[in-house]
Amino acid sequence: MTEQELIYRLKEGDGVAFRHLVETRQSLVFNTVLGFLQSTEDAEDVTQDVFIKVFESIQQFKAESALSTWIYRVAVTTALEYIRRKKRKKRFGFLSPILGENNEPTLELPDFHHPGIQLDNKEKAAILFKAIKELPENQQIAFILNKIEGLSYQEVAEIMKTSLSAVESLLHRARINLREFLKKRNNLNE
Amino acid sequence: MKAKFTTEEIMNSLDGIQRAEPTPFLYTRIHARLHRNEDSTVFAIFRYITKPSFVMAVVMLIILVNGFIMYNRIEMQQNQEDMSQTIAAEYGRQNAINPYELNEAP
Repeated sequence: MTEQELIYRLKEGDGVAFRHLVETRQSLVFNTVLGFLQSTEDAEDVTQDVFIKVFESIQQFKAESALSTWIYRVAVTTALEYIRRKKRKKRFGFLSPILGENNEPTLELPDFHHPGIQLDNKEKAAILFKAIKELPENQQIAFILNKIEGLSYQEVAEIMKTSLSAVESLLHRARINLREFLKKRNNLNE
Repeated sequence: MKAKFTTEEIMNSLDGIQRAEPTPFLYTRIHARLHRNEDSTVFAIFRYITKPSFVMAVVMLIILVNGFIMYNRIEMQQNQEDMSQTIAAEYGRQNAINPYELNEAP
């Protein structure tokens, strides 16, 4: 099935085409979303949300970019919305027993272990994932798409609707910020 | 105590990362959720139209429309009556023959 044919059939509400879309793009969506959420359960739920959004808004897809680029955009937006919602809930959930007096979580969240990381790198990657969470949103998007999803700078630029040089700059700043965060962490541990 | 890993070691830990795969039942779950959404949309519409506030609003609207129609009819009727009275008055002055006038001597 060509991409044009797939888009046409999706717009017609073809269930077979939708199944094909899910089966061929599920790892793309899941892996991207997982990079942001760092929780397999949350990523499963948000992946479902992404495909439902794609199904419901396919009529608005103008084919100005590749279908995958558009799906990446939906995935990134949905994941970030989910994180914001969760943060809001945490901010206002001061009555929840998990939170202490200063509205700070008293229970430390467990380390995230990405299933695609080699065993000997698991511990180091868990530290890096913690640092990624501290990055500003745009740097986070660029870093996850490039380092975790393995997309080229050009592809990241298309997804983020920005220039190649802007992506290069975002990634450069992301690396600097991550190194700073890790140095601080290492100094604390020394 | 020395840190367990150097910054560079941590920075390079994502090298060779493989894509994570979701559960094999993802499509079935999405399909089920889409159907649930459809059902809940129908249910939501039903719930909305049976809300007392919605029912009251509809009743008020019907009363309002009825009142407007009735007011218009009454006004139209009055206009017609006025018109016929005017015509009658006009004709009465010119052509009406008073029956008493017939018996009167010229």
